[in-house]
Amino acid sequence: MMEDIVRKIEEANEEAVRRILAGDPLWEDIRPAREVVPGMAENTILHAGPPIRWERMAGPMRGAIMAALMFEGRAQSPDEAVRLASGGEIRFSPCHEHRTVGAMAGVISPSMPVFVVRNASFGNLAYCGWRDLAQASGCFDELTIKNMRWLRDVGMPTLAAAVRKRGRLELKPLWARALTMGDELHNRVSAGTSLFARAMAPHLVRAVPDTSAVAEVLEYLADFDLAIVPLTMAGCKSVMDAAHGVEASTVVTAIARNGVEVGIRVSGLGDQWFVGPAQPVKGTYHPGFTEADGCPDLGDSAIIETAGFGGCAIAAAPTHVTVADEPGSASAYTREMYEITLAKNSSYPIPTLGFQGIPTGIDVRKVVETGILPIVDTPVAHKEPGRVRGVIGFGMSRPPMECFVKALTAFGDQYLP
Amino acid sequence: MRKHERAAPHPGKEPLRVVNVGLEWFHRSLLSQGAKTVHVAWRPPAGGDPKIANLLDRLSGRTTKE
Repeated sequence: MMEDIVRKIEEANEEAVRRILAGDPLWEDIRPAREVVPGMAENTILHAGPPIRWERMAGPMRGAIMAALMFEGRAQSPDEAVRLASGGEIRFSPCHEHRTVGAMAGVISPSMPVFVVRNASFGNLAYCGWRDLAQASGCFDELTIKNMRWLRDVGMPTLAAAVRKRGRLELKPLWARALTMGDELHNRVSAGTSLFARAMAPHLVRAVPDTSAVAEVLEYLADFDLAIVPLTMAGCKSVMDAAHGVEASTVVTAIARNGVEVGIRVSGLGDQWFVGPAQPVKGTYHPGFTEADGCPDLGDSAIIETAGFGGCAIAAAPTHVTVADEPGSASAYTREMYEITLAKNSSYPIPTLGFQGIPTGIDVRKVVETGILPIVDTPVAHKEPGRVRGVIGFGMSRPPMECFVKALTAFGDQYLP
Repeated sequence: MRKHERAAPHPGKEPLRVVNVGLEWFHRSLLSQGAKTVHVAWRPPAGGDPKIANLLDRLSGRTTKE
């Protein structure tokens, strides 16, 4: 009997990993969330991480929601936004439960445009909101709202016209190339964003007659190193969603943080969240800030690590090790991740590790057995909303072991006789 | 007799060569004193929780192989 379940798990994990390795994300479009995100009603606001009520939300998430309500014209002031958010009229829901991911606070309201990515191998779609660092980290001042409106009215429609003109953008070769150029694809993305700009520039010019809009978008791509991150997040979400729902698989298909709790989802355990307390981020803080100022672990961007990039592939980003806890630790982090994963994805070789593929398919059993937790490299928001425009540092974080022990226990309850 | 003495190094006479298992602090402490050490990052499975370790055994097939 016991051998049966072990065989079943091994076969299920092989299938889940096969799906991850076969993932082929294509960026196809940008559309307003209300038009494409499943379950997005006019009173819906999506957020990062596992479910959480307004009363328990972290500062940056509250600030980002206040910005969203003012941006949507539903509130005229921060105070009015707080009254509306706390009044019960708004339905808050995790991005992940809508085939969507959101950076940092991950707040997405109905009129915000989202990147639309199709996993060509399996046909499933995934979405990610834009990345405005100020709003995503909880700013809600006039400049933030103005920048959000520029993204909605100029930036995103211009990019949308370009990608429609191009037909689609294949993310797989772009990611692979960026990895060989010193990116890990989460926070060291200079190569990826440059390749993205290069791929889109001619189509921007051909698709959009308004040259000032084209110039503004090219400036945005030139000035904002992290511009490609939401596209990568949507791509990784499309890959991991295809691996979700494999009966008896112990592969982790999502790691998501809301600033209070971290939640994981497991392929063979349906849509349950397994949560534990979000941890402070160890890292490099901007002058004048320390770990004590930082909001604990925040954002859906850990979907990038779940797919094997980011912290898991940080050996590929030797220039990014300054945010790690000691020099030379980047390779050690990635080597450690091979201990808790089931495969190496040869589509994405890491030059500094002899071109081994990125660690792929985090196995809940291996995490609990070894005590090695997935490593995430992540930006940090100030814990008080609106206090700082943008992030206050970057660092390394790990989801709590509690998530994995809870998942393993639930797995035993569901699958063992 | 001489061969036997060499096989059992005497602290203080021969440099220590240490394989440290588990707590990394011992490894670092020896390193700081100039000793040659190799650290093995070992932790008890499931953090030493017997209930979870048993569950892991059942889900990994280790018990069935015994």
